[in-house]
Amino acid sequence: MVASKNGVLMIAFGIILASCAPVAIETDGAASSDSKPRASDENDYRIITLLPKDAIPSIDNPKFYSASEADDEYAPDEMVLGVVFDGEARAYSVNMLSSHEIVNDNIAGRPIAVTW
Amino acid sequence: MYSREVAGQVLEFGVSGKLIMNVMVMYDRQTNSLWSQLLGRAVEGSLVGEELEFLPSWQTTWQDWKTRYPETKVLVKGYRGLRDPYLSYYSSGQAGVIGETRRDNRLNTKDFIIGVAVGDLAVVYPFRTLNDQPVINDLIGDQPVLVVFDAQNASGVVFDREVDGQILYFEAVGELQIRDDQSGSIWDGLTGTGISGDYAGAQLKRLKSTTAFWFGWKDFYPESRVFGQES
Repeated sequence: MVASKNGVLMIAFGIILASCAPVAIETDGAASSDSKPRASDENDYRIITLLPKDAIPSIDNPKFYSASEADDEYAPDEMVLGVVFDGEARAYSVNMLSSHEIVNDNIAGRPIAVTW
Repeated sequence: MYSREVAGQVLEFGVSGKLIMNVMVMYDRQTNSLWSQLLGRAVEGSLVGEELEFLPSWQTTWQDWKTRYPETKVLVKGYRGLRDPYLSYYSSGQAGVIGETRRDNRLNTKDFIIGVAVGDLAVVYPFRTLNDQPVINDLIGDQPVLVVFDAQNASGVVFDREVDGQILYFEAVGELQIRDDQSGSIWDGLTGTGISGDYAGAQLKRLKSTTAFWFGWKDFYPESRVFGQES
């Protein structure tokens, strides 16, 4: 599939979510079976409900290690999502992001949402 | 990665438990509006139509990140979940939890792609193409685009390759370094910063891009051009 040396499975994929939960799917709207191309109008998007709100808990008050502290928990080849603002750098474990999907954070005085 | 400031208001986001075409929908705790993560746009509620400002980020290994940013802070673990709950999902043939909205066999369902949308136009750059061609100069409508891929870390970034009114053309020159044909300057391919030559200190602007499975992207952007498959 992907010729990554680090293994396909650990790569970061932000957009496929909540698939770990083996629950029944309840549709909010009428199911559409037509196969015509969809308009790119958001009103045309069918929203389905898979889990209760906050069943996957966002991280709202994140805590941080220094790089040397993080070495105890982060393997060298572990995937992270990194961001830099005004010279301030932060890294977030992709594993943790997979479990929580959102981190509400502030960096260099700027409110950010780290999303997965 | 998005800014949480919208129309002068700071929002806090949670996971709504809802999906649009297999992609997470967030809600904000201030207005309860629903936001498509992929589009970065409110799709329901009082903030409908508002957009989140995209912020550039990088996916790479811990080793690579700390080498670049030794002073980095790092998220403490231990909130919940010690292994990636999607591990088995990545390797299965199942496409999302609700199935695909439409079939499109130009790529395999679970091929990884980097997707870029500019206005009404969208282009996908498959990882397997990027593995062979890690630096791509492209044009999406009127937007000159540069894609740089780090196969080692499965990390890709997308830049605007217009600098000071001039459209530059880049080629790979070594370990994640690129060179523009016009001046011969050397640039850091992942950060887009000019290292040496006329453009030393210059900065390429990041464009919003999404790393995704093919099936997730194409449901949102069915008219996408697939780079390398132009007829």
